[in-house]
Amino acid sequence: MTGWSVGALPWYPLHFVPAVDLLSALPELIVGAGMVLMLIADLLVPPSRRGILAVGTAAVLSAALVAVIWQWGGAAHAYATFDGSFVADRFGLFSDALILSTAIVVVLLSPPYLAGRGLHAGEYYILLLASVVGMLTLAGGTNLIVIFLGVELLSIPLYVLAGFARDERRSQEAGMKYLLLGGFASAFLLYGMALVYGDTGKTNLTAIHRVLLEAVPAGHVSPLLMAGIGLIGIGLAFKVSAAPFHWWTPDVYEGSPVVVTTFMSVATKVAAFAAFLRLFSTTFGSAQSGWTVPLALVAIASMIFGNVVALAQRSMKRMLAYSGIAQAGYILIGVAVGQPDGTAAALYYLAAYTAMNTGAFAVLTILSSRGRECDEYRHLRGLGRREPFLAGLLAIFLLSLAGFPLTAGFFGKFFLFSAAIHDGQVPLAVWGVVTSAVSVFYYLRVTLLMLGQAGETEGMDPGSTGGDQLESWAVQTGDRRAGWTLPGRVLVLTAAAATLVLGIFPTVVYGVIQGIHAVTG
Amino acid sequence: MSVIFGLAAAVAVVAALGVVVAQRTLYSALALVANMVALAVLFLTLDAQFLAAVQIIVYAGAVMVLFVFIIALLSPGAQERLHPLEARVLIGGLAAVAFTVVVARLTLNGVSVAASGRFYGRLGPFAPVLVDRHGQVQTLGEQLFTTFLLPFELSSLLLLVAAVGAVYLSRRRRAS
Amino acid sequence: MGQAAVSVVTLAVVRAPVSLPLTLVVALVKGVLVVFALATAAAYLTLLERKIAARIQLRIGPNRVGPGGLLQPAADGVKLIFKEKAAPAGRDRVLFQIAPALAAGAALFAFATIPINRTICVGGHGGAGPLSVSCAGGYLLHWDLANVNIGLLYILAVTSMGVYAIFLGGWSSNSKYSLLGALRSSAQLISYEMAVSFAIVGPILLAGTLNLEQMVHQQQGLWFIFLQPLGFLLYFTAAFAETNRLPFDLPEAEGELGAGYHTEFAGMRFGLFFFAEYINMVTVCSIATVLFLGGWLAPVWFLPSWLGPIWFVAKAGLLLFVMMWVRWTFPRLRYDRLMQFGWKVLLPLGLANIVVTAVFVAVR
Repeated sequence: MTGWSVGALPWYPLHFVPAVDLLSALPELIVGAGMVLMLIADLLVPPSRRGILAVGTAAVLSAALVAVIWQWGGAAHAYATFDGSFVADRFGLFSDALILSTAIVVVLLSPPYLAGRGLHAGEYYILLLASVVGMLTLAGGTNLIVIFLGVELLSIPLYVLAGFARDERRSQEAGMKYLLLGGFASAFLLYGMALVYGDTGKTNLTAIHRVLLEAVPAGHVSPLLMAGIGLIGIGLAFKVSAAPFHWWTPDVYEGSPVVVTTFMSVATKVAAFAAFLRLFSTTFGSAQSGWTVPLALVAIASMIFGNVVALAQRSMKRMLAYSGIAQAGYILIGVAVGQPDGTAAALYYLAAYTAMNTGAFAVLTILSSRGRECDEYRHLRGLGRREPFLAGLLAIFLLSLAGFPLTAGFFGKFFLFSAAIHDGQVPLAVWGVVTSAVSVFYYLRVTLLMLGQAGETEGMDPGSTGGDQLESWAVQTGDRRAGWTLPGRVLVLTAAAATLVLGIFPTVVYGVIQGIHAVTG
Repeated sequence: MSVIFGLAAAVAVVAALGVVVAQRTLYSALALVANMVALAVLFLTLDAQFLAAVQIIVYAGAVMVLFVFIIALLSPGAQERLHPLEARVLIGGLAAVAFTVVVARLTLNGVSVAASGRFYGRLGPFAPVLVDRHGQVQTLGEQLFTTFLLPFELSSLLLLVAAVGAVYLSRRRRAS
Repeated sequence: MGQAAVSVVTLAVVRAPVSLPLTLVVALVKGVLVVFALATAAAYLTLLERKIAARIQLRIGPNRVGPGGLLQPAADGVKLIFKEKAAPAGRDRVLFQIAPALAAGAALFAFATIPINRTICVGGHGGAGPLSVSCAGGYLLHWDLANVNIGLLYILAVTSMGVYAIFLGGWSSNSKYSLLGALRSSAQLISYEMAVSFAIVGPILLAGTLNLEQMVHQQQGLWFIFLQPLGFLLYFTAAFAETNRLPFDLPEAEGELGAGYHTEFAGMRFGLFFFAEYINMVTVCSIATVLFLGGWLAPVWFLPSWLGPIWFVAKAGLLLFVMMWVRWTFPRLRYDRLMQFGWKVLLPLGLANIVVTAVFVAVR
């Protein structure tokens, strides 16, 4: 045995302990480990009892949320780990909390919906958890490599989830479109990162920040670096579905199962905006003069395009998709304004967006859990009489999306627009106000529709189905208990309460996030 | 040494041109394989032996095998011949020139030519001293499990979930 | 072919502290020697195979050409060269030419990093042991074509090129038997490459290097087969599939596919495929010898250690004999069983072997 003793070898056994503080990545680790657990559990749980997987997944996500809250106390002074490629600062933790809350809502609403459509497979939870890991990583990543991997880990499970109803052509189309355009966006992102790395020689955000701090005052910012920043911006704009990089959004939102749409529209946007803010407001902050104007143009284009096209929609998912494009435009105002007001306002809007958009989709999910997708406007007609409670909640969420006072959306927009005005970017605020006024039309239209009679056809779907079919839809969906489960009730009510609290007592949350700063590691 | 460099570089360029001008798709793919093998030889001349081996194993041995499989089994016919002055060709050519300029610029920016004629990155962890002392694989492994631990683990998670998704999408419907 | 092999593998030798021309000459000589040795070995392995088959089937085997049939390979070679080069209509002319050459080339290239003896110091003082190389005033002679850092990875890389030869050979023939054989063979090679890669991780972990010469040095005193019995079994089993040998010779299952991917090849084109198969056998057995059987190390301590190459050839020869013995003993597997065996048995076992070995290395 003496011949192969270890001591003489030029290798590294265990004395190379990486400089890693695993506790700072606790939420990611919990969700990642949970994903592997679900992978094993999926083999053991019989198909008829897949609900257990949903409970397990929700437990994993809740544990991660607890970890986030626990970290919050210690994160006043953010600390970087994994050799500076990941940070658990309050900025990231706040985003984490939004992502995890959305995921919990989606997971608990899923079983009745998926079972109703015959889609209840264990892979759903595995893919969802993997995507959450990607989002959490994206929110805390302070290294270009980590950020890219976060984007991919977020996206690849979503490509599959979008096509999760693999026997339906629309779902297949959604998955395929998302995959192709998502791959395209990743290419932009990666090419931009390569240019930034090529110019600065660093992938670490702190180091890139330092290079920019030296280069900008001296006027030495190379065009390659600016091109890299621009390409990264385009890649992220794809992910947050800002115009003109939004083309995939309506089709993908419409074709995906509604639970997936919920998750995609809220959590993805939060995670991608976290990366957006960390990269642009903080890391590239000193080069702001170079990218503010293009970014502001993208924001204005998104607000105009999203709100105007949403007017013409007949489908809830498509309407919410275009509304999501418009919301991305509003939040981009926060990015364009930059630290510190813009960041705080953007975070506040993200919190409001999480509450109201998750809530709106949750109501749609519950309505769709009765064997058939409730998506078109006509399906909602007369909902106020059939189910006044659900209709009332949906109305709250829609009014909040429109920015009515006493709802979360109002203060969300207020903080964003006032930040823009303080920063001297008045056109952004003006366009924001004008397009918000436009948006009131389509949100109110749905709200009023719900108050109308089932079977009325005035003004709707010219030349399409008549009243009989609409009645039959209402009859088909006679089982009002389906989908209206206890967790469903609790979650929708929580979302509504959050929407109102954010709208009536804004300082509760704004006070918390006012001083938050996205660090670079 | 320079003879080998010249040969490999020539093969790489000719093969790369072959990818673009070949009439049959399968030939394009095979030219790409040849290009990758030539690149691996170039890596060898730069003393990047590990990179050379991985280049062949991953690109030529795994990715391109799939390409060739798919192309050969779907057997697309000959491609349409493009006129050299067509807009697509011109735009593509311009993009290629721009790309070359960018890469050349970045390469000269990030790399200094040592007196011995070997190229070294100006960056730390793969400094020639370290590589010579510990060997390439060891240095890389150490970096992978310290500095790049998080990306490394994330990649493994990514591959796992991609496999799960692919299995789900391609699995036959269950009887139930 | 051999020339090209040499020019590539000389690269790694260039950094030796000797003048370039000498290194180049030595490398060329070694390259030519290796190519000739492999060609001869392949030729005589065919004879050996026929002799063993005959013994197992209670026959005598070829005994007409030369004493005891010893010139039979030469006769076969002459026959192959002068045969009509029949080729199917509708073939892909370019690929049909290239595929056999590619097969033989990949097989020859793979041998470049296999050391058949310890590095010795010619005409100077010093020598090479584990991690110590000194050679004052002399020439350091490596007993492989390229003593590189990543020897094992190099072999994996080169052998993975063999898939192209088989697939393109079958595809370019424009024949359904060939295409089916090629498809099966490629799928099999790719699947079993995984098993091979997993199996060799055990010795890599124990040795802490990918340099094949250092791996042999690490086995001084205790061969890795005793520490890695499962690893050896996995490697050797997968090696049968990698070389398309019975019981895993589905690609050329003659009952269903004619001769598989090389059905349509005749004359020396067929000869090259045939040649490649036997060289691949030599290569996998040599790798097994280096990784698990202590390479050139003497089997028992009292035997002279300077006979290194002899011990190496003896060990590899033993493994080659086992491969032939198995071929004439076991029936062929069904194709789906073959794939199941690879993915559901070999792969998990390989993974378990890696985990156990890693724990062992960590706590040692």
